[in-house]
Amino acid sequence: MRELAELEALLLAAHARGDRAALVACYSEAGDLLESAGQIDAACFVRTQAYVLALEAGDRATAARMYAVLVRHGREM
Amino acid sequence: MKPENFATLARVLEPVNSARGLPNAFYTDPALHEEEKKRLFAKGWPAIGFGKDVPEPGDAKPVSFLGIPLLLVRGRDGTLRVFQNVCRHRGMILVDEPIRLKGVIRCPYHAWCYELDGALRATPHVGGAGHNTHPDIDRSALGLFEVRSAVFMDIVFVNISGDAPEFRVYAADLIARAEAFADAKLFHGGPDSSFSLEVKTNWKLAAENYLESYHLPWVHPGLNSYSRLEDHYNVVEETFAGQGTLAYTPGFGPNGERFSRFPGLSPKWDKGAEYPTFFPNVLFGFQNDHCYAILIEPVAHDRTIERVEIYYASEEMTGAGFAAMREKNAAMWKSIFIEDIGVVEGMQRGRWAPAFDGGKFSPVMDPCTHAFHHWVASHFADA
Repeated sequence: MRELAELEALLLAAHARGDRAALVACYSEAGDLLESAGQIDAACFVRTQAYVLALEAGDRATAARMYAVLVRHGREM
Repeated sequence: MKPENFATLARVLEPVNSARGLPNAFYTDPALHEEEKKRLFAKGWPAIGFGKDVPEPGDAKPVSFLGIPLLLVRGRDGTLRVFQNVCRHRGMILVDEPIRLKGVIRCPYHAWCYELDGALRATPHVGGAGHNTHPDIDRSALGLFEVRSAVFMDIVFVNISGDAPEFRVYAADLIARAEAFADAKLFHGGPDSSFSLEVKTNWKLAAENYLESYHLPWVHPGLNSYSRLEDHYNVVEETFAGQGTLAYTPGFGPNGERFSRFPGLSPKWDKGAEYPTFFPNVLFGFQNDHCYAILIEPVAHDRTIERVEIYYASEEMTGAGFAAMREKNAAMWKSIFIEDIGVVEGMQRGRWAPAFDGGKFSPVMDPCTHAFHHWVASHFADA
């Protein structure tokens, strides 16, 4: 698993080139990293980012996965 | 409205033999143009675009109509819907340019997400970072504002006020007149069958010029050979008026080849064609081998865009084998509509003549123009 700092750099680069698929992947990975560190609020923040971008991209599988996690943490309905 | 205009409107409502046309202010006064938006456009069924503008599921096209930001969206189920193009959160414009959406409509500001049917799907961080719900955010009540719409002959009509009769009820007289055209499968001719003209005139003058055949021998001398004035007749109904001809004899190929004919047409259309203006802003052309619609977009009280789209009766007519004939057909119509620009712009300049009293109609040649004036004036009867 990558470090957060590395993911942040990748996120900035993905934002710069408008690469939604990379954004979804990075935010999703950051969510796993933060949850494993017990940082639930931060994890839900980045998973929300991944969720919304996946919805926009029509990436139903990822959107459903993010949604399920957010619901589990009481952040979606 | 000023008292002098009110008095003149009473004359517009008289029979064509004694009536005068709409007063100058209806063409020159920006305040009256604003009033027309409410009285003529918001309450009726004006057209804002074409189904071909959003041909595939997920296609979205923003349209500014009378200053109202609208959004045409083709749903995953193929249904075309029209929304006000704003997010329910901060009123941000949702879509700025035509796009094929793969997923939801995401507001570019705070990323509220809407399904293509307008339902609010996601409200990221609305309850704080990472908290996407809040007791006071009822998504079910915060969908996009949908505008009543109807698609007829691939034209997208809207009823902004939301209280007009259903389109097919409102337009029943036009639909009956269109006969088999009304339910025909239409095939747009492609890029060579689409063009726009920007005209320095009031939108009504563009419609009025289309309403009568009186000007044909003078403005369109080229039509004399196959569309003579004496072959024309007038049709006046509640929601439309216009001219018909008994001598439609097209031939677009080098040896008189023709486009295929629409199926199910009655014998009336063998040599007949009709050109109704559906009030307020669609000018139709019904011919047995092609039809077209001109969408009149009122940009300002003295500026109008005419958007022309030409359709054929079969997919074969849209192919490369008929490209030369389609181009010839589109060029013919374009040249005719360009010939009209001089007179519609000239009438607009003429509306600054203070003594002009709306004009004296020919009882024989101008009943359609008068019907349109009457329709406009009747919507101001309580002004």
